[in-house]
Amino acid sequence: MLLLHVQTVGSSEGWVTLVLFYLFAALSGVSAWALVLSPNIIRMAVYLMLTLAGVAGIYFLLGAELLAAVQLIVYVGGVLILIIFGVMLTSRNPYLNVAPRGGEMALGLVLATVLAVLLAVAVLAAGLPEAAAAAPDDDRYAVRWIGALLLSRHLIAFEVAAVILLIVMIGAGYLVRRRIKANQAGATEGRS
Amino acid sequence: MLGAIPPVDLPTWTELRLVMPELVLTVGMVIVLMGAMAARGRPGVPIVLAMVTAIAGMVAVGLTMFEPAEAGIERLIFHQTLAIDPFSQFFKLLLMLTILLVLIQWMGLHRGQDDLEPSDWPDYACLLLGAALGMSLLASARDLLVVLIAMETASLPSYVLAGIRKRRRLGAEASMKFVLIGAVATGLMVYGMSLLYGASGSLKLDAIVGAANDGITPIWAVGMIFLFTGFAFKLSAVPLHFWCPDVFEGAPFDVATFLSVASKGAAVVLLARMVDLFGAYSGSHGGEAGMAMLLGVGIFGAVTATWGNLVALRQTRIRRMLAYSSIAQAGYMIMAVAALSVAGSGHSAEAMTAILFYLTVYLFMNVGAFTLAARISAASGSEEMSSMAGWIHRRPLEVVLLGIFLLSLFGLPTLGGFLGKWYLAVVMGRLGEIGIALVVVLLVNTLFSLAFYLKPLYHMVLQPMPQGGEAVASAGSRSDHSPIGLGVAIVCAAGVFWTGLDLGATSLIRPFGHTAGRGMVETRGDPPAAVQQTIFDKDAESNLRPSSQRPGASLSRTVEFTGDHAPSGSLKPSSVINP
Repeated sequence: MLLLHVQTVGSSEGWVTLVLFYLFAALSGVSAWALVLSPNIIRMAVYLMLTLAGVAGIYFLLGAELLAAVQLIVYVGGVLILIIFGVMLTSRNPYLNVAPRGGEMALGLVLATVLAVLLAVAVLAAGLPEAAAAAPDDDRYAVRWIGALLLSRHLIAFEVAAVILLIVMIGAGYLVRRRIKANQAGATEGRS
Repeated sequence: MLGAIPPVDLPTWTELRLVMPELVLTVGMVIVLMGAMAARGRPGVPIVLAMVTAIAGMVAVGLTMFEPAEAGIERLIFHQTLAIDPFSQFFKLLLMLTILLVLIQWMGLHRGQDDLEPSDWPDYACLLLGAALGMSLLASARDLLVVLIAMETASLPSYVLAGIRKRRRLGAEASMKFVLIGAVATGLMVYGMSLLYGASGSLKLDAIVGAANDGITPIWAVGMIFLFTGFAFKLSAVPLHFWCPDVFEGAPFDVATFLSVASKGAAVVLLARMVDLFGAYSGSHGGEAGMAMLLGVGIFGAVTATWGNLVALRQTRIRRMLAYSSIAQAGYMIMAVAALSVAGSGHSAEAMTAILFYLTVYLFMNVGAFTLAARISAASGSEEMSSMAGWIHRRPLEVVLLGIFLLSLFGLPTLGGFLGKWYLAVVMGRLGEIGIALVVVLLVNTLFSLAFYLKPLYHMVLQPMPQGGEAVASAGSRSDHSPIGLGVAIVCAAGVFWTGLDLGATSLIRPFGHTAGRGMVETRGDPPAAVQQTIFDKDAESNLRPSSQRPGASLSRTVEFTGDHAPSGSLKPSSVINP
């Protein structure tokens, strides 16, 4: 299944793509395991970075350059740095141990196994059309297409995303705002 | 080959007119913010502006509501990503009414209370309107991308609203739980969407449900389950209901009211649309797909209703009791949605009507019950039901009104809740054996729920007022004396009687349920009397793959509709699928 998929993607440079795919897949998979098993939160963040970077590599192989770039910029760059800053600024001890208890571990393992089996069965039985994920090779500017789609087919989603940003900004502003001192508030807002 | 890059086309006037309610909400948010800046010394201005927005929204919904009803079709606009049909528009009307009532309730509760600084009022109003925008889009969504974006627009402000009392530990904890469960649910939902896109090759809901025509594939089923997980979070249906009581307790009463009515309503409408589309496709084959969906959604609803009722019985605080009650109520509606999955029964129009009717009743009884619970617990200084002993002597009017709402939630005849449940039961009863089982579940649950709906009344009416109760009662904060909240409750009580005695409520709602439908007509160009079109070939998304591999390529649909109003069931356009 996987072999077939990869060969479809990299029909021109077969084995290079294949090697790269296994490299990125192994990077994602192994660091995902390490992420879950590591008890140290900073190390977890680093492993998360490797996982996300590996996924970005797979996106590149699939010909989804924009998606890969967004993955690198937003997740590997932005979100991860945010996580590390958040951990460092909020916890007293950034090298905190967050090892789960035995029961939690067992429950998580069972749930993860069930989910993995379910998804594996679903994906393997799906028989996805071969070219479904691949962008065509002859158009080097798939980004242009995405832009045009956002302004035509998905105009509503695109516009509403702007409203989401406004709302989130208002909400975040509200949550971090300090309390105005009572006397000051009384003076400026005319409260009794 | 990608084919030609689609032209960036401007929305037509028709499209802009049909999304007027959403535009009003968006503009309203901006006006609230600007009004807050312009009228600095007067903190009430943004709240009033938000109320004006809600009223303007109602007018806008009213203007868009009847047009599609006349044509007897739904309008699919913005490249079929939004459906503006009477079903969605009626929900939007309820939504605007909810915002208005919640804001009025808020005025009665918060003025003079320390929860929210006056400088925070515009934020509150803006978040409320933003969440409403998301819910309104959710009700019209016909495209997975819009579902996702609308779900986030509804959720993100809700997270903040849940923790709006940010100096209270309970509020912060509730908000945190809400965010975490919400993030997991959204993550699963997006994953499900990607699987569904893989299985069907399209983001359109009708193409996705249409992909189940050739038999349900595992990937489709898993994707659908994950998608429903996201819906279940918004519905606070049973595997994902944990946030609901905690959030309702940590948030102020008005936010709890808003979330319990508007958020659940939007999710019910979305679920109904999805299952209805599914029924329209699979039902014509009458295969096992419809039965699987019927069983799945039916069990989902039955478990939610039963679990909500069982846990509600154990609650001692009135707000948690109402939270579990709202979970159970959502379960009843989900059970009725299951009826839509078998269109072969030909009763989808009745089911739609029953759901809209129940949503209307639910709005009145829940807003009323929450308002009075807020007033009484503010006055008694505690939310424990036992601390409200003997309140019938202290506040007779409020206790009687609360009794009306609680008994309506139970389903006492002459009150709206009874007729609502009756319609739901009628719809379920037509589904054969599974339907009968659902009716039995509904009946048992209803009888069982009487136990906890009577609990606060038992304390307030039959228990003697404790010694020194007078002192506690008069020590309540001054907000509980304001007549504003009582006004909301009286309006809601009128609504409960209006629906319960059926003074024109059914005949008002029926046309909206009946025209919710399966017509497939784009607004670009006026629809002729009979339209034949092949949707999937015009779909640019599916051009991304070779045409021979497009799942939709073999589907050509013939859509016919007539403009005249036929009686029940036959009004909606018939869609024929030729595989």
